[in-house]
Amino acid sequence: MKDAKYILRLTLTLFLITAVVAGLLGLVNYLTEDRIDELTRQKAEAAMQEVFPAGNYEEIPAGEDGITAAYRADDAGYVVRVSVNGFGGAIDMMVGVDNAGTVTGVSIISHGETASLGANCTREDFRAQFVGTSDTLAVSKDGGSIDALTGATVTSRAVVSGVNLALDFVKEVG
Amino acid sequence: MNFRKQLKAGLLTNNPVLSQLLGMCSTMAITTTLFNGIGMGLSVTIILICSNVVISLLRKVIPDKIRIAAYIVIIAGFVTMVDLLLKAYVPALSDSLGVFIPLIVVNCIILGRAEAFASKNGLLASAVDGLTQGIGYTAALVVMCIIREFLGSGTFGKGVFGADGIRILPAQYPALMLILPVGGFLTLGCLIALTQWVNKKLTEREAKKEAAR
Repeated sequence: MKDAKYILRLTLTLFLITAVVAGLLGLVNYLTEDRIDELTRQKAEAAMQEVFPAGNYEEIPAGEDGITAAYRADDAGYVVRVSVNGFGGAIDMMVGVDNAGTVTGVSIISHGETASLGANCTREDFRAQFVGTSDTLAVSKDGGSIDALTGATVTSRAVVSGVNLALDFVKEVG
Repeated sequence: MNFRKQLKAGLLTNNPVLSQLLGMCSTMAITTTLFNGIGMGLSVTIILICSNVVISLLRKVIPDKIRIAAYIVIIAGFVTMVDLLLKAYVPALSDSLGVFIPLIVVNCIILGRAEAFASKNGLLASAVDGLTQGIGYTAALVVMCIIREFLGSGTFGKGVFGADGIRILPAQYPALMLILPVGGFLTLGCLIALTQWVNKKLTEREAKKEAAR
């Protein structure tokens, strides 16, 4: 009988601790949820305005293979959201493409690349290289025209492949 | 209870990273810029203080057999709260530290202090232990960051003083290797050796003092 009591005490203590922690987590989540959603939305919107400025974005069905969302921007072009595998996990990026199939801008929304190396993929001078191109791209090491980031060829290749995915998608749709 | 003694222990003689060799993974992974180091250090310190306090309060309630499970639930709760709060109010830091915030759950410093200190000591002592150990962890991270950032990128205070920090070495000189994981191992190894040397000197000096008395 003593054993049963002891086991019951173990179970109840752990249950109580878990319940209290779960309750607190629910509270914190409730308090922060709206703000986090709002920030995520703002970030995505800012990225869309950056890669293809437009007044109205209409969501269109996205393809598969890493394309997570696609938008028709004012009948003048497309904004394609792509997720590719970088050196440290997924790189989430927005690519703007006009009706002629030319890249108008690239923006990195989130990534897990190494600080000071792959993380430099968010830099303006790297992203600017993509603007104005319409052919399938490659980094210079692979015989292409994009200068890879110093010490971060894997990241550079990932971003390039993301832009290529977006270009292919627009070719299919447009 | 002696705050100065505990602070000295946290910084040097019982530094979580350099003496107890706990929390190596995060130390190696995030110490590439000063911003990351300070952010991670502060997050861990806050979580460490909170979990130490709560575990110290509950130390007589939690039966021995389920203590590890209970500690992990408490620690995971605090980590998730900090993660959500950072995401909502300091998104820049949360972006930069990425997966390492959730991974604080398995940072053995926190469980280690819960088991070694908070479960045996009172509320105030545990809070102070959390603070001093947190400061020790932060100090170790900051030193690692400064060395690796200086030798690897040639800058100081990236993310703290402007996005690119203060450039000290011209861009072509820094050894990229120091930013890569290899550099983490090398820097950490040297720092651990240095700490051990300092600790040894300190013990010798104290022994001499004892002998003179």
